[in-house]
Amino acid sequence: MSRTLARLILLLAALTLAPAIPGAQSTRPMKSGLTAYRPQHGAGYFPFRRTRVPEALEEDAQRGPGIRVNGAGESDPAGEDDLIELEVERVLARSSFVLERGGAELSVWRTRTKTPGSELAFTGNRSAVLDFGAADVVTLWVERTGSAGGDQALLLRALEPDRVVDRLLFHAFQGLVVALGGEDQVPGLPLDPNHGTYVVATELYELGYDVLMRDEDQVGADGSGAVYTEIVNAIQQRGVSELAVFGYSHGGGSTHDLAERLDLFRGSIGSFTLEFTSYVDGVQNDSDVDLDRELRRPPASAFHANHYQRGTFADFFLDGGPVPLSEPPPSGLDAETTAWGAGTTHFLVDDFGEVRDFIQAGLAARLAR
Amino acid sequence: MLPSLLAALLALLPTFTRSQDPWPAADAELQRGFERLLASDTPASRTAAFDFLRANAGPRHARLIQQLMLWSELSRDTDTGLLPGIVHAELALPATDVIEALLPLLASEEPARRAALARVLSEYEGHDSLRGADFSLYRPYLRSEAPSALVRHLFATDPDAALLTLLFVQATEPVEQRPLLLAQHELADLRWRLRHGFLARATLERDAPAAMAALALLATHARPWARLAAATLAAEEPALRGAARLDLLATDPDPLVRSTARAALGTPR
Repeated sequence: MSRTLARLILLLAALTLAPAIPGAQSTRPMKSGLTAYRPQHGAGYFPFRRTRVPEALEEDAQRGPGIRVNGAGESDPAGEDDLIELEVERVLARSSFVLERGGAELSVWRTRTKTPGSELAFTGNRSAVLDFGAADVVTLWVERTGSAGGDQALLLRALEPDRVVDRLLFHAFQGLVVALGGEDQVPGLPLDPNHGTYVVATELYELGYDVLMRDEDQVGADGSGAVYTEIVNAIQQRGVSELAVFGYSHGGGSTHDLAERLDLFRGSIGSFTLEFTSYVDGVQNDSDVDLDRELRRPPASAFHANHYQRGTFADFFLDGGPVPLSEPPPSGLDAETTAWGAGTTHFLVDDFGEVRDFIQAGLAARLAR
Repeated sequence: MLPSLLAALLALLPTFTRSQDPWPAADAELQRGFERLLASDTPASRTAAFDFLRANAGPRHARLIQQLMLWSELSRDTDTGLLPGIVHAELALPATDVIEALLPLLASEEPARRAALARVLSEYEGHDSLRGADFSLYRPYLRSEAPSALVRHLFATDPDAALLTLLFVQATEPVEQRPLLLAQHELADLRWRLRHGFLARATLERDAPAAMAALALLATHARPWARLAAATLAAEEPALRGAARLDLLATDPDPLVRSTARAALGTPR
């Protein structure tokens, strides 16, 4: 063995053993400090999976942790679900830690339902020392109160030695996405890859949007119902000012009905814009047995995407159709005129990657998170 | 998927037989007919499938229509979910046949089933954001003694239109009709002002005296559907429990009024 080769082996051995040597902190596994999750729905995360905000995006003002403004008049139809789950890791064994917040609009609780007495005390904008007990990780819940707008930082500070360990930047959600599936497509887990609308909705949720994934039956023929109520609540109580609504088949019809009602009652609802809408093979939804093509553009939509196919024997002649002033111009895309969509049917057209990507990209370019 | 749908339906059969629910038992012959239609891949097989359904639809299509509701109940995707609409369109089912077949099922005590029926019946109710629902197709069924299940459906769908329809059909004498008509207007106006933010819920009793008087009139009226109108509004607006005399309505002789009031009070029905 040459001397050069022996030195190389020794060097490699030293590098391999380094984590076991006291003081070799730079090669220890990274500890994250603070980990935030995407927003809750009801008593948990269903119909989404519990999704952590990636470490690399924790300070991203757009794709980082979003938080709903928990307005005083919130109806919370599914119970209190506006707090963001936060995991705090004891990253230094012998140090104590505090949280520092950017302003009093951020509150931190030890319980997800804000049980009385479980709010973390702050002096100014610094919390009391965090109590980890015997654990290495403590779960807390962050609430955004006050008016909408603006970002708020939350820092984890070690006291011995005094240094900032990790930092999150919370943005208050201004946008709300509503995704409506086709007849009898029910949001669920595991996600059905053949429910294209819900696939898009899930991807948007993971990308940091606040998303309502809903059965289109929750929109009545006049646009009223649970979804409308949730949207109005979000505008009036949570500072939401931008909306996106999209749907497939009967969900397309419900997209129209919802947009129409929102536009009619705009003066009573408050200030908002409908930034994005989309139909995929839209069918009017006056009832469960309505099969009329949805050819009406959603009122007041700033950007309407439309994909459709031509019904044939294979799908009982079910189809959507061209909608005036839709994207791609002038009236949307007949998927059967493309190489990828030739011969498709009503039951498949929502599942093409090309259709899903068009919706996702169009929405992402227009809707604030 | 399709055989499993039929198997699930057949598995439910004993449940339906045991209960008092008016929901139909699974009719294996027709359910297989739906499956054959969905699986048909030639014009001949599809024509045969439709012909079978046409021939076995029963008087005024009642058997077919009720079996389609049962099919919908277990549907889990758009192809099976839209089949009732496909059959409805191909056989050109008359509105009166659909209503006649579905009205008995409204007596179901399962809220999900009533909601499913409402989503079919909305085809004939002309729902409109500004005008509300149009229940004129139900008038023939409301003339003498209105079926309680239908009245429940009307108030659950659009309480303002329900009261208006019932008072025009049943309270035909001006001496009875005019006070009810004014009361209906006051309640509809109250809902409208609340919906559009012209009234605050905290000060309703002070700011809407005409509606309070209308509510008191309805709550003590001899017609059960008038009392139901009062109970329904109080259920929507807890601040009006007193004005609607909800405690009294909770012991009403009419089961529907009583159950609505008790539900609003959060007490057992």
